[in-house]
Amino acid sequence: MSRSITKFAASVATLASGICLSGCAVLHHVQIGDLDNRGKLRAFDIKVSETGINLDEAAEIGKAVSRKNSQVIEDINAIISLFQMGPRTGNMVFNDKFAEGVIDLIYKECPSGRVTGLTSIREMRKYPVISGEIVKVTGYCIEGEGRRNS
Amino acid sequence: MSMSFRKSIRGAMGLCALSFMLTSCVSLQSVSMTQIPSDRDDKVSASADQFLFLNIAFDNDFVNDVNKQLLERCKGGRITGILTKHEYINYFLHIFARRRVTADGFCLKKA
Repeated sequence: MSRSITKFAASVATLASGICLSGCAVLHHVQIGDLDNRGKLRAFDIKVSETGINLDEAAEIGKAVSRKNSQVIEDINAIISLFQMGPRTGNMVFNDKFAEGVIDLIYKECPSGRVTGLTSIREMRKYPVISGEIVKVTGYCIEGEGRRNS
Repeated sequence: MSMSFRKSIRGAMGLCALSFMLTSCVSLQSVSMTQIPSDRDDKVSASADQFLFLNIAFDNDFVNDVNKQLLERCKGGRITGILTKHEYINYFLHIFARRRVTADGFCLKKA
């Protein structure tokens, strides 16, 4: 009996750690641009990301680890939260310019600049405390003698 | 107040609560729109969704299907005026849910 309970606990722990390590994919925003299907299209995929931090979860862990300083941790979290107000998607990041290189990356993927069907996806990979704040852009590069956008 | 009246009130309230729980709740996460053409005869639409159990999703790749469907539905043309909607449908207490992305646009076959 005890062996089967241990086996069950181990399988539950494996499942939980698998879920934690693979991260939950959260979708914040999707935008699909105009599509030109009149030439030969080559798909491309660009992803830029930055590490985000969930301060509430960090504070909860801090409080659980150090019960003595739980009030101090709570106060620090409250003070930081005051500077993080306003609408946002995902957790806070320390570099707000991480998505600015997307245009250069698109030109790298499609040097002709004849791009169509740009789909911008704002997503997040959620792990305990930290997260991957991702901006993904997929699209098509018009190759060959396709007609230009009119 | 009679016993039967109380019972019927309780039954109605229970039915009401059950219907609220069983009716799915839809929330709109994001909307975007591109330039609308003057020629709006040929409407094309595509949608892709993902079923969620306990709100756990391992990827967002289902979104890519929308583009592919649109291209399939307007061969040799141009699609503009694309309205993209990203919805979240909660079926039951966030245990069973669905994420859906729909795109509606207009196919222009003329050069």
